[in-house]
Amino acid sequence: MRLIARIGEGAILRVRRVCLLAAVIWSVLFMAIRPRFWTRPVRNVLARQILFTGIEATSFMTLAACMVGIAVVVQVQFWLMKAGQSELLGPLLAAIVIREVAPLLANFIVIGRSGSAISTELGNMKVDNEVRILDAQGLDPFHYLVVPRVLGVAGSVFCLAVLFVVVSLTVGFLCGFLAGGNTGIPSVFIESMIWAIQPGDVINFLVKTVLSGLLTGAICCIEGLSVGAAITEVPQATTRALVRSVGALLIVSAVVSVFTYL
Amino acid sequence: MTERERILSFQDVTLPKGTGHDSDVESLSFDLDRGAFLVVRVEARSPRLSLADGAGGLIAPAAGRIFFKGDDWQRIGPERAAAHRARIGRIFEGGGWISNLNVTENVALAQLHHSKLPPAAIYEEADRLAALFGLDGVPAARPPWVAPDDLCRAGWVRALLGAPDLLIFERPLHEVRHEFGTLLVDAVQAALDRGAAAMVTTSAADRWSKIEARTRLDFSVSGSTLVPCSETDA
Repeated sequence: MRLIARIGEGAILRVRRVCLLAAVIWSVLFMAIRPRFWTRPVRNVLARQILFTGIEATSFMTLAACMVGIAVVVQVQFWLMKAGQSELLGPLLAAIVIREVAPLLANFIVIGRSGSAISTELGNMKVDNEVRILDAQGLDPFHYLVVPRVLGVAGSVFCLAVLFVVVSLTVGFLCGFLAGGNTGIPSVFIESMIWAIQPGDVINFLVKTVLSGLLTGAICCIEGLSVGAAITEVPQATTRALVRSVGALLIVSAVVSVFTYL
Repeated sequence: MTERERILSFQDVTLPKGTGHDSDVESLSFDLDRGAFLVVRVEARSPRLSLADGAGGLIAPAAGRIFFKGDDWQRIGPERAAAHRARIGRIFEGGGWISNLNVTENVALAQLHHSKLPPAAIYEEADRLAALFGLDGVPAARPPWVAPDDLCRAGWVRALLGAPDLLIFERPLHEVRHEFGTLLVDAVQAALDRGAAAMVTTSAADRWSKIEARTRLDFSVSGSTLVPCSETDA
């Protein structure tokens, strides 16, 4: 009986957690579409978040995209040529890079760089009583701390994933060309890629980047703000944030892939 | 005096200890109207009270009700509560600075958030207040890099920026040189004269003796209760 009770408790806890997450994301989106919530300090926080999460990650993302471009795109070109199926280049790259690799890698990089930073920063603010200070001055902590961070992360994930797709395909094409492969002219390659992208791919890409970004931002904010008064709780909260963000990302990725393509 | 003209009202309030407080407050009642001044005399090392956070609606009272400008803190939504807190100028015991903002950004944060004034006008008023307190402008460095004396006075600037209706000061003269204390007392007097109310927790009550207010309330701490020392009407 105790085992059943524990299983039940665990399940209820998970459901509550999911409900809290949904409520946070819903509230963020609700506030985001109302101009009166975008005060100057909130806009500043959003700008700083985009700078840190998006812009400062572009060099690393570009490097990662180059590596993937070399590894994946060249390999696909080579084997398709061998198999005499070069016309499948576009659809196969769309399936691999656009549907799966770009959203996953963009999210992983953002979780590692920004997710940990967000939960650590907010955790430290809780410990140092700074959240109470904000509240005392009439700055709702959810409005000022959470909304711009969640939106900044979601927008950055999307943009970084787009950057990843463009760079990896470009580098892959160039590498294939330089390696003497039958890559065709750039316009043919680009056209094959564009024609290979289905509406389902666009929806898949949007959901895997934006939704996962929203979840990452919300999870990291929730965990950071759940810290109590002890500084030792901050790294624990950060670890939980990272693990839960990765878990959410994998679940979203799998579910979206199943629903989009089956 | 109608409820709406009354700035702050405690009605048989018992406040529990919150985070960062060392002591609760029991069975406290008082009214602060426009121009009223309340002093809570504490010892230099006495426990930190939850009074200021209760007055600002950050702690729910265990008993009784707290009204700010006619609204019960526990009966209004978060947006209205935030709008009310924008009209409260606070000096926090221990500083109360946001560490990832510099002091100038800290000082102007609430005004930038709540008012529609252009940033230049806000910073201009901040500099004017800073000059009043003997500062050469509001410091631009991050709080840990600012001298304690200057940081304390920057806190005064933040509290008085935007001409708030209620001033809640927690040991405001604690970390500042003696000669600057008079400047703050004069600024509080000016605020009372224009119709604000003020509540000061201090271990140097004699520094506030020259304040002339429409109503002056003096309390001292006795255990977890505040005992009136005297109540005088001007």
